[in-house]
Amino acid sequence: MTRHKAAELPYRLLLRGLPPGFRKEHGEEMVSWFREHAGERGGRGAWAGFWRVILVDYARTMMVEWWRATARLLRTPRGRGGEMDRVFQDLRSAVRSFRRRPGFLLLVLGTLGLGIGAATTVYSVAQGILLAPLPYPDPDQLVRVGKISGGRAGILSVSAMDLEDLQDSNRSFASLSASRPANMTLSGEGEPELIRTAMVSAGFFETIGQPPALGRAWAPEADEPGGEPVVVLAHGLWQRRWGGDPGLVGSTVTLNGTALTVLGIMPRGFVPPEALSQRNTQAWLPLSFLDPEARANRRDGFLQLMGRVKPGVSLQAAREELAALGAQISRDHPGPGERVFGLYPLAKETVGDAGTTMLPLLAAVGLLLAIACINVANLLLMRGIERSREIALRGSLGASRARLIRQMLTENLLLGVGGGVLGAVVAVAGVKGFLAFGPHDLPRLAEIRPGARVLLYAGVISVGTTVLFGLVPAVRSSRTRLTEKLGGGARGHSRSRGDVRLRELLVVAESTLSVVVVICGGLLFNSMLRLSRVDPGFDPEGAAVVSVVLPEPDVPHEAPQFFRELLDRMGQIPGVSSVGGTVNLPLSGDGQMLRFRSPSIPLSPEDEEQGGFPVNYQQVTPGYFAAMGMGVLRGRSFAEGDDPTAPRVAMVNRTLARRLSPDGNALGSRLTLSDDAEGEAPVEVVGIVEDVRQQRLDAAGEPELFLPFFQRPSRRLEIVARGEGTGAALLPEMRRQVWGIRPDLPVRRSVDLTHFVSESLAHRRFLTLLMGTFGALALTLTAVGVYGTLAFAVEQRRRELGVRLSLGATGPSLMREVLNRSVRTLAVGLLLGIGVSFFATDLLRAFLFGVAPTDPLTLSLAVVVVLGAGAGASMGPAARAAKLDPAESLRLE
Amino acid sequence: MSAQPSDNSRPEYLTPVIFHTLLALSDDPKHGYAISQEVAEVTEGRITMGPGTLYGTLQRLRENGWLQRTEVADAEGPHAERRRYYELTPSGRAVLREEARRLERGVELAQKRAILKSP
Repeated sequence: MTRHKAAELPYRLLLRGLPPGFRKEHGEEMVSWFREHAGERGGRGAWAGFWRVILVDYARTMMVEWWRATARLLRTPRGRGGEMDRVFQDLRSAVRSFRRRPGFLLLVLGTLGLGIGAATTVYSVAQGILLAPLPYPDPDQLVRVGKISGGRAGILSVSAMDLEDLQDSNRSFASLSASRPANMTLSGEGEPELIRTAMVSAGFFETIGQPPALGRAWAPEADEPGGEPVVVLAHGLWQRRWGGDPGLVGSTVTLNGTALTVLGIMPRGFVPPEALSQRNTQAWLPLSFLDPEARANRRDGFLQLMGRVKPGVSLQAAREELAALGAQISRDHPGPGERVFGLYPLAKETVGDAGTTMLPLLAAVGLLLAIACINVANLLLMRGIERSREIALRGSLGASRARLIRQMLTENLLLGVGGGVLGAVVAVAGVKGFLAFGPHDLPRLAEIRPGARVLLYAGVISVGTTVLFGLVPAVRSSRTRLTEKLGGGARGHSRSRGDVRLRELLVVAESTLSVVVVICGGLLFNSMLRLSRVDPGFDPEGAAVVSVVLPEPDVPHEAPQFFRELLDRMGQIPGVSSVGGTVNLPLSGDGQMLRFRSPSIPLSPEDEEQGGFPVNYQQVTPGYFAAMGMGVLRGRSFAEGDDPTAPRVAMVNRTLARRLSPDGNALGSRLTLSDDAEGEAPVEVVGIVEDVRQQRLDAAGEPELFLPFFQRPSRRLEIVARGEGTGAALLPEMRRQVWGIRPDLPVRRSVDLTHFVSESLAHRRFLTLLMGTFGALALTLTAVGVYGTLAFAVEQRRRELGVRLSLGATGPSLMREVLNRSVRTLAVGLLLGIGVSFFATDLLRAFLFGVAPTDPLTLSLAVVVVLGAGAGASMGPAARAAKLDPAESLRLE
Repeated sequence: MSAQPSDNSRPEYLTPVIFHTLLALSDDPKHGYAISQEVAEVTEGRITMGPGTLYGTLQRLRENGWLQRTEVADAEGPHAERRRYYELTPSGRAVLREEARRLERGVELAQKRAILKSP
């Protein structure tokens, strides 16, 4: 019963939003309807449903009744109307008063628009990435299942045979399905195109809870080797290549040279699960396309599993069952390493550590919004004081206090709505800009859209700020006693001193917040500068990259021959001085790992169990190091003769060489690779190269192993050519050489080598740019706040200053006094701000490079900048104080 | 806000919400909550009216002169004192009858064309 009583109150409050006439007539009845209906409700779910009905009904009634009330009023002759007429009167008078002060209007709207726009943009993006549920039915039941590697975070793929065992014996999952991403060439009509595909088990569509919108998915038999060649296409691809022709279902398309029957089309707006590396996936194929050899091998985990936990089964229970099944499978099929299975919620796997990027931005934008609100509060306070005379006059002419407050609130509401609309416009543009120019490696970008929610945030923040901060001066001014104001003019000293204090306090708060934002921006900028000066270990200038992937059936027989010919041809391009290839370019984000044993590296028990010391490796062709401009420190580079018939060799980087031998001379070391066949000879280290920033520009000193491409071929090669001019100039000819041999091959990427360096900084550059923009905005707003406060104070003290001038004070001395006061106020804020920044900059730690969060240089620069902006903004008002004409100031009033 | 019966407010046909609201009042006067209950019941939940929709509709019908407020002698229940009862006016009854006939003609036609089975 108490619950109904408690619920009645919000409903009564809601009713206040309806037109007064309607409310008076039906309000009580509506409450009693509500009470009676509420009495019949049962549990929590029923309550949610009930409120949904109430809110929908309310929104509808709001629109209909306000519309009717307005329409009725417009039909009523003027002067006779009641409530609504007064509202219109208030609106008209608000517009009139804004017209008198366009500067004030612009300042408030601009401040609100920028602050709210920035905050809403970042909030919308963060909400889409971090908070919104995944766009699938019952997303909480979805989990990523896989092997958990001891100690290391993350979840690993599972072999096809382990998957079958898990599928057969688990009881926790409603369905468990597998996925393996692959790039495939789509040919047929139009240019050949490399598209992102995923081989998935038939249950994938059921697990994710989204069947094809058109046609159907395949039956489990199609997953078996030799199964029917079928495919399900993404809506976007279907629209783009076939113009949305429904007749495509049932006909065939060609992927990697194989004709596949199109079984279905996924619905528009379906977002492939990013946690299964399916970002931008455009086609789904059955598991029958997996390499049969790999499939029969229990050792290789290459399937990413996704499960839907049965309703009522807790994640913990499912986790425990997986662990037990893993132990069982390990007992039945002993192999290298224990199989420890586990799961993570799909949402968590999808979002990953995106919070690291979003949190500093959220914090900064929150500060910015606070500064904007303080500024608006300040402006409204000043305006309240400025108008106190007018208010008092109107009060004396018979306007009631409620009427005066209402009049001022109407103005503030208008400002709030205007600011909100501007903010929403900025936010919609901001979200679009974020998606277009923001870092592309953030998860879930496909789901973010500026939507109705954005407008709601903008509106609530804006109206809330103006009404809240407008209320104080409104109530205060309306309380003004007539005699005091009309007689006193600007002389009401005791009152205005309090106002000055309040406004100075606001300036302190503003400078505190803005110095924090500026320090954060400064630290990021500093890190960025240092990073861009980092030597990546190779020479990115004057080289270009073309990346070629041979379709799956070609491996491994054709690949070496094809790439040998291609490298040869590229070497003959006029102007090219060196050509080489690698499987993983530095800073490209690609990487492979293997494990090896060497007598000189002792293994941890865990590494022992997993098969050796883990190391990033790549296969490179003979000319690679020359083409990249990487220095060979000792020994030799790979040569043409390092092919399958020659002894197996390897090269290592400086860091790995030091691990292998304390003096760094690892030449002659022998490494046994974990995936070598039994009895195969170890590889011998024949050369040592300088360290390269392979993974990230800000991480040095990772061990790297290089193997000769022609001893361990791959179907993928990134071909680097170095010439005399810029790298980009070489690209057209390089591409022509690829198509000269195989006209149907898509070129996966063709870019200048500098692209990777700049791309590897893109994420950070964007964060820096955004933080810098916020810093600049914060500075501007603070300067505006300081200027406004001071200009107003000088205006208010005009009389006093005039008297002092006439009594012999000099202009410069008054100017000094005004400036001093302003700088003192700022200084208090700056000191507080530095204190706060010690905590705030901790959020940035992940993005700092070579700079401490308390870097004294950055801190002092930030202080100088904020102080300079504040003092600069004070100059104008201070100068005005000095130039006052005593005679005129005294004649005033 | 006065209730003026006017013929030009009579539409070609009634919306289901209005039809069922009038129908609910055809036998005896009822208060708002009872009207919404009966409408929900009769339409098997296909028409549910929230409080705003309900009282907005009642007000409109009153303005059309199809309903009026009435005193009910012995209203029962804990909320009786706050309740207002509504009853059909003669013009409301006429509108309701006309609409029922229109629907009946439609049903007859559907039966003739074998869309509906005859009773």
